Amino acid sequence: MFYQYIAILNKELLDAMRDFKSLATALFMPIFFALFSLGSMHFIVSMQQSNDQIILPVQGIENAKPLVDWLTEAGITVIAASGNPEEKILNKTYDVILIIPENFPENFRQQRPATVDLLSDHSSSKTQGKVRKVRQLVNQWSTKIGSIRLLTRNISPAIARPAVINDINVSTDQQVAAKILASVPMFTLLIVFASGIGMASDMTAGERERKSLEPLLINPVPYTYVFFGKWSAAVLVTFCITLFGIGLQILSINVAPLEELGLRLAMGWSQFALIMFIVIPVIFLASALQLLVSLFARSFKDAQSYNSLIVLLPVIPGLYLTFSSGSAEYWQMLVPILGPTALIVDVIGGEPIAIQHAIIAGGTSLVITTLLVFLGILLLKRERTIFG
Amino acid sequence: MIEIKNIRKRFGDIVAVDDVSFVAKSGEIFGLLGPNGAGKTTSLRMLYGLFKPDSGCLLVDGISVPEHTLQVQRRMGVLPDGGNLYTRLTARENIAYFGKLQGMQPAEIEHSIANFVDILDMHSIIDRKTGGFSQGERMKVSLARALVHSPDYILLDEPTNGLDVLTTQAVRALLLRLKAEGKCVIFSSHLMHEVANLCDRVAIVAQGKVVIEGDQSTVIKKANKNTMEDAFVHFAYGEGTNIPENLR
Repeated sequence: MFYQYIAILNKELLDAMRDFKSLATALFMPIFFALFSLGSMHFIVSMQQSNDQIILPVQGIENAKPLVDWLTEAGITVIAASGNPEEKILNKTYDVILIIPENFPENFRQQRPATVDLLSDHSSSKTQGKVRKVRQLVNQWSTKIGSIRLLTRNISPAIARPAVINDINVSTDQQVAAKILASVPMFTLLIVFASGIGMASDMTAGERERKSLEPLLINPVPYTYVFFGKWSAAVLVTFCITLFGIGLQILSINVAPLEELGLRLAMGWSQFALIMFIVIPVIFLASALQLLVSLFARSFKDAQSYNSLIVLLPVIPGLYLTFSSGSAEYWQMLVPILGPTALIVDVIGGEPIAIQHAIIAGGTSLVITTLLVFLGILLLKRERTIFG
Repeated sequence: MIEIKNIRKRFGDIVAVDDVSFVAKSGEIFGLLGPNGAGKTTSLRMLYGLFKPDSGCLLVDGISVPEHTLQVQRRMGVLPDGGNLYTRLTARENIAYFGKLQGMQPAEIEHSIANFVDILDMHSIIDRKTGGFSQGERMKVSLARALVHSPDYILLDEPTNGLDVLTTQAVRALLLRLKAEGKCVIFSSHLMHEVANLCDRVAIVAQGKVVIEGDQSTVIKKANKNTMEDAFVHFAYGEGTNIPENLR
């Protein structure tokens, strides 16, 4: 009896492997999502970098060497500015220009306020980030020199700073990164729901439409075995594609230059295993649901249409979680798909997940799966299901 | 022995099989004849266990089909009407799959396939995917698939429908060979020359009922006709119906 189950499983796997079109379609999604993640992260990093890499044309570099050194140390590329500075700003050759006048050394030496001119177009919001950065650096240098001058007179520099802003960023690096990667959990579950469609429809509605279901069921095999054989095959294929998909996602996260954003994401083998552990019960559920719907459908085309609608299921909790904040909560675990999505959000956000949560979410999926399998077997036993 | 007694099957308001009874014995070829829609296929589907009869009794070797479906299915080889192969699998894989589902061991399956490759001349097609097969090639593979486990009872629904002469001959030779081996072959058909050539006994089904059962000469005599074809028309379409001269 077990031998027959294995025979059905093997045959369905062989059949699926030879169905290049369905297989290619199923593999397309994980590859697309991984490239999308990688691409979007590269995009964000490159946006950030264009802000970071400030090229500052300075007129009169020789008038304030220490200031220029200070700017260079802070990562700003200082170049010598030539020509009419105002014109260069207006015709957008440069975003910002620093002019150090010739009287700067004299005023500096006399300890009088030495003026520098910072030229920029205030109506251009795009360049304000750079301007702010340069202004901040010049102010810092000014404060530093001022402090030294006070110290040489035996006065505490603190006297000149009655109030200080302490700028605290409460989000951890990984939380910021998780915001960027908020779409990954939804993508993962989309892969789970999308990769089995072709196969589930083909094994049931397709098999009936091609008139190979009747010969199959004339063999002395209990319908329960037929269902389990086909279901296991769908689960295995979905599992492999999901494994591939999550692997690619993690690879793309690791390859993406997130460190350059100042973000560290710990995405290694343990996170990979954890996500798979969360996702496996959902794979059982998704495959059983697809088979049930395909058995219910009147034709292969109907089965594919219904299953395409099922693919949208993970989008609802995915979007909900993108807009809600906070860690996974207990009640979410009792809602199918929402629970696993919330858990994956936490895993990617670098937050610890409660093992009870994972078990309850898995249990919820498995209870529903059992119900779906039971209904699927009942449906397969109907004469109308076999002959359409 | 296959015994069918007063089986009945309805789908909603439509009575597909009203009252079908017949007996088919080992070592004979039994023809189930009738016009399209008479209830042949539905009767056979009840016999091979995919439909449950509303009433009546189906026995194979004294075992009730609806109650012990799997046990009976092990003794049967069935070629359902319009049954198809798996097109992405080779002929050999198609046959072996059914062998496994019948519980055969790999060595037995290989031996049986080799046998059918010889009998049905499938040397050139056995390891090709069945996707591009002609109707005749598909029929040969379907037959081998249905018979891979050497069943005692062979049910064929319209086996020679749309086949070329050579394949028809091959099928006919196979059926005679099975009969000689002492198997019981039931086949449904509406092609009278097939029946005349092959069947030892026939039952004619019309509007869900068996109107006559017996050997061919008895049937022809009871209809008071000269040929099986005329007798068939007489029983299937009612007394007084004649084939117009210009269609003969």
